[in-house]
Amino acid sequence: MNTALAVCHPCGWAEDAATRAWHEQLAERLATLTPPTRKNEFWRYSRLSACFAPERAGRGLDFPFPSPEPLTGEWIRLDQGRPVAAHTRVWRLRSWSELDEATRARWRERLEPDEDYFAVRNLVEADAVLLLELEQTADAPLQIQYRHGAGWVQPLLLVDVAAGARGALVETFASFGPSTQNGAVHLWLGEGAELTHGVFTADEEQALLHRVRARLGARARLDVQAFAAARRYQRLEWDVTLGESATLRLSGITQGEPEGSADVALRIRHAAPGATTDVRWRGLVPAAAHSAVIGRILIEPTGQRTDAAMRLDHLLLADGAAADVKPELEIYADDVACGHGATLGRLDDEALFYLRSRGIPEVEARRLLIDAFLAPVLQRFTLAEVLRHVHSRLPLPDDAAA
Amino acid sequence: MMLTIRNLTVAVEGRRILDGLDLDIAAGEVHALMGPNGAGKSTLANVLAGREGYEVLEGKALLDGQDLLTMEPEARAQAGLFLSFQHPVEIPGVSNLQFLRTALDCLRKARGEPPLDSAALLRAAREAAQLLGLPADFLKRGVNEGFSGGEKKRNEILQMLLLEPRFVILDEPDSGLDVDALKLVAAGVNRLRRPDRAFLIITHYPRILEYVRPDRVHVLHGGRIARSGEAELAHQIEAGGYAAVLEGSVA
Repeated sequence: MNTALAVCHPCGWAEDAATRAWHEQLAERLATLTPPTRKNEFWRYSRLSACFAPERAGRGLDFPFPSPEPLTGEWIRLDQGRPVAAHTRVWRLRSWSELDEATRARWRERLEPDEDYFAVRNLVEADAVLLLELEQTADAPLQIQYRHGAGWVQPLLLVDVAAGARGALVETFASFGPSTQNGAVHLWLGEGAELTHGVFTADEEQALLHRVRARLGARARLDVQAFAAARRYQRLEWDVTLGESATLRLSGITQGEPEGSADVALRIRHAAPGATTDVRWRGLVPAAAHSAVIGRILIEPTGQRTDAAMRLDHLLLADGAAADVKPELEIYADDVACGHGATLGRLDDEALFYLRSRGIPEVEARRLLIDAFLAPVLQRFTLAEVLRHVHSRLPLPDDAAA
Repeated sequence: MMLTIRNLTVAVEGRRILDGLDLDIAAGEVHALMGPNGAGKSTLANVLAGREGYEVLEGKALLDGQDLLTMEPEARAQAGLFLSFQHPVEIPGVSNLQFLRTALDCLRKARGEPPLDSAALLRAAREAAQLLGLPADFLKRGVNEGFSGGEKKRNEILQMLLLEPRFVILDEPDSGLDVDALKLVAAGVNRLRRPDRAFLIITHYPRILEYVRPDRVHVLHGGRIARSGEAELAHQIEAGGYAAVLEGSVA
């Protein structure tokens, strides 16, 4: 069993010469990068200014968080990006300082970032680095609870699921003061490994950037179940590369909030034959809210026999709601089955009248139709921990459904 | 009178569809409304149910003394009105059972009654489905989702049986039905006939009236009731067409 004491370490990049040199190179690279703009971004950081607002500037300091809700099962809590408490049995937790040189070298290679400003900055300024390893089947999910409250907070988690191992992670986020969390999770799934990954970001008052980079070994399977509600600004990214006959199933819901912006960016790369991707994301956008979703599936010449499908759908609940949706397929292999589609629409007036004609008040009728819109994604959510959170948000309250 | 319509004048996109229509239907009666295509039969049904897109220029429509035209669609249903749609909409993702439970709870709440318990609802829904020849898995399926035309019509009747309205408008319940399905629909209507309930059946053809005997038959023409009579009037229409029965009538 791991305890809080065992995982409470600072980042540890400076502890060995090789990592120090690697880190210095990253820092030099960061100095040459600038935050993305609408011209050079991957796509549409719709409210990037929120991340750099003066009240959220500076490195995160300690913050007087309230007493946390007790967690059961296996869990880790990270306050201001640093692990402060944990309880695990099946999952093994180690800080960077506890890794041998071979493991560190392997992960330095795996962590090599592209030219993304936020990705590089997360590596350079990581508050803590935590390696989570799973070598068997874990029946209960590992719950990861992030809390942030001041300045820039940059947790970095490395997840290694060994060949043939099976488990689940559920990440939840809460903010308590002006802050920007620029977090990253690097998932490495060995051959035949299976991971169900839940992400739940409701009640996020501050800015949140959360990046998941996943590499799936042969016949590995990653099942993402995400729910994102943005009151200020949040951007969730998945960058997934699939090995031979690997499977990605990615299901997500964006619940917009008035004055909030939620971005989702998916980069999925099929570089080996026989892999399968199935993406279904649905968004609810109320008045004065904004949602942006880009999904890009790249099938390289080596990605023969790829089976890829992507649906990105949004429901605009009122005038003044805005959504940008962009599904993309880039195919360089000739033996593939791929499909993608996107819709932006409003509630069906005919269906609404039909329900009301049976005595169902308009707000309740709208709620039924919204639930129906979300049902195809919700039916794919299997993690009880995610469903519990989602059901605390749905059905929508009267003012949101109206 | 249960339903009283006076001088109802309705326009759609500036064109008068109903023009001074008067109609009275007493409790316990079944009336049939017939008329050529475009006469405004469905307009009348939709205006009474509260569908948007219709401009009421004049007149009133009272159900048990309540002014329907000032009420929201759900309030009209809660007052006892039920429209069996000509083209029921499909609502994927909302199961028939969930829909029925929500509708019934809302109606019972409006009537000051407690919610029906789930077992009782399930029992009643299964019994009605069996009566109407709907498939066993129908309750789990989305509302009208993937239903054939006949199944959609029968689903309307099933809702009517469970929701027990006081005044029912059936907008072409017979269109697209084979004779067996027509008999099932008619059986559903007859099962609900009671002295304190009334029906308005909108139809092109007298066929359904063989199975649901009307007390009165009206012909809608020129935006108003141009001719009324006993059930025999439907047969005259069948035999001679609308032109024959409307000859000499004031449109």
